[in-house]
Amino acid sequence: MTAVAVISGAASGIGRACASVMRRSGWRTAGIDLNASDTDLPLRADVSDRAAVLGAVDRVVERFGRIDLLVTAAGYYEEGIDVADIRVAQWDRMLGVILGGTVNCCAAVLPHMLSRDQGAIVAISSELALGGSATDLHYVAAKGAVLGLIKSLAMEVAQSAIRVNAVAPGPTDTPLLAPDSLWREPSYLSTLPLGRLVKPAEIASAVYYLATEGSMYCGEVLSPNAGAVI
Amino acid sequence: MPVALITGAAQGLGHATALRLAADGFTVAVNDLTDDGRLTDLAERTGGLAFVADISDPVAGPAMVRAVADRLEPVEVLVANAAAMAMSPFLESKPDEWWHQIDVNLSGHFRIIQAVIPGMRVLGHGRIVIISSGWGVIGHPNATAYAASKAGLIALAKGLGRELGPQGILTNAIAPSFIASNAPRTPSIDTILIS
Repeated sequence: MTAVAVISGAASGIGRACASVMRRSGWRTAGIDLNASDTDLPLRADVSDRAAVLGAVDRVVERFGRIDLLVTAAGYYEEGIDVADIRVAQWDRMLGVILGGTVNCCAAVLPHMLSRDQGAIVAISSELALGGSATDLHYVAAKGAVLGLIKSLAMEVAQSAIRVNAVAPGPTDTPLLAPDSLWREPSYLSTLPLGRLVKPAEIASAVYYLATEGSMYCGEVLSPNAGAVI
Repeated sequence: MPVALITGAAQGLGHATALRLAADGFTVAVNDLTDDGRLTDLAERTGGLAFVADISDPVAGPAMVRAVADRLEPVEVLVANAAAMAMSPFLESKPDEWWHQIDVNLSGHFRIIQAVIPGMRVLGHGRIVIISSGWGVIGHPNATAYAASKAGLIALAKGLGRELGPQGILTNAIAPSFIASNAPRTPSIDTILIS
């Protein structure tokens, strides 16, 4: 049987790159995204909506009969906001999508992995969760919370041979970084040891590694970040 | 006398922090969700004031910070200590219970911090001390929400440190391990402590 990967946020950026590398490697892919994704089973759903995610995952199981990998890449980014100006609704939405989306996808997929005593989950966090960042506090807090969730969940399900890990990318060349983003400024890039943005395909390589060869990782945070946090 | 606001001060770490800050010359504003007499006792003992408020309430939390400024002075030191905790296996967690821990520990303090910043900016300095947890660093089974909230607080502290540091407002986090306090224990916590 061909292995099956469920990828949230599969329509663009890192999620799209993950779907692409999994398909090239012979996996069947299901994408959960607000938009249609280039996957074997594109499902449109808002990850912050628990019922919608449960419904989407049910369709994956109906179609493919199994889930071997979950990648939680759905998210969005807002920068250039002073902490005092972050509105409560903005904060709640950011936590609902990034932390809530990760929780909802894990809760929907785990029963199917537990029933087979195998599976892997890779959550996309952020380098900003490791090193902090000014002017995007709600995003940073949500991505940091994902790390706490992932480490605890890793301990909880490890005895069922389900491995839970995270990837914390540095600034990556995706549509989430606006053309005028400060992270694209040469003055910022020059501070990075590698001097450049990370490519989505490079993040996907780290995800693929954790999902396959990286069978010894449990509760790990890989940091492909061009040296942003060393 | 500079004003220090301590959330979750009726017992345990918050209580001890309030006593120490008062002894060191701060006027303490002590907060907790309810007052069964301990909060008022603490306020009287320290010469401070008690402020009962649910910090997970988007209105009540910031309103409390305004009340502290009105009745004392703007907050110069914030100790973000209040926390909700409930342990349960991830798949058995009730969404409301799961999110309540995020609402109190992370979102509640986000709003309290937002509310104290303008006053600290006027003062030109301030200190924000966030009580995280070792579990926010290393995780713990059956504590996904608590660990997520505490890891979020660490990231929040790092971000605030970068954002507010240049304005003279210093933010740091403390990640304690188990503390011998009088906080109510869940059976599973007792199991951990004994084992």
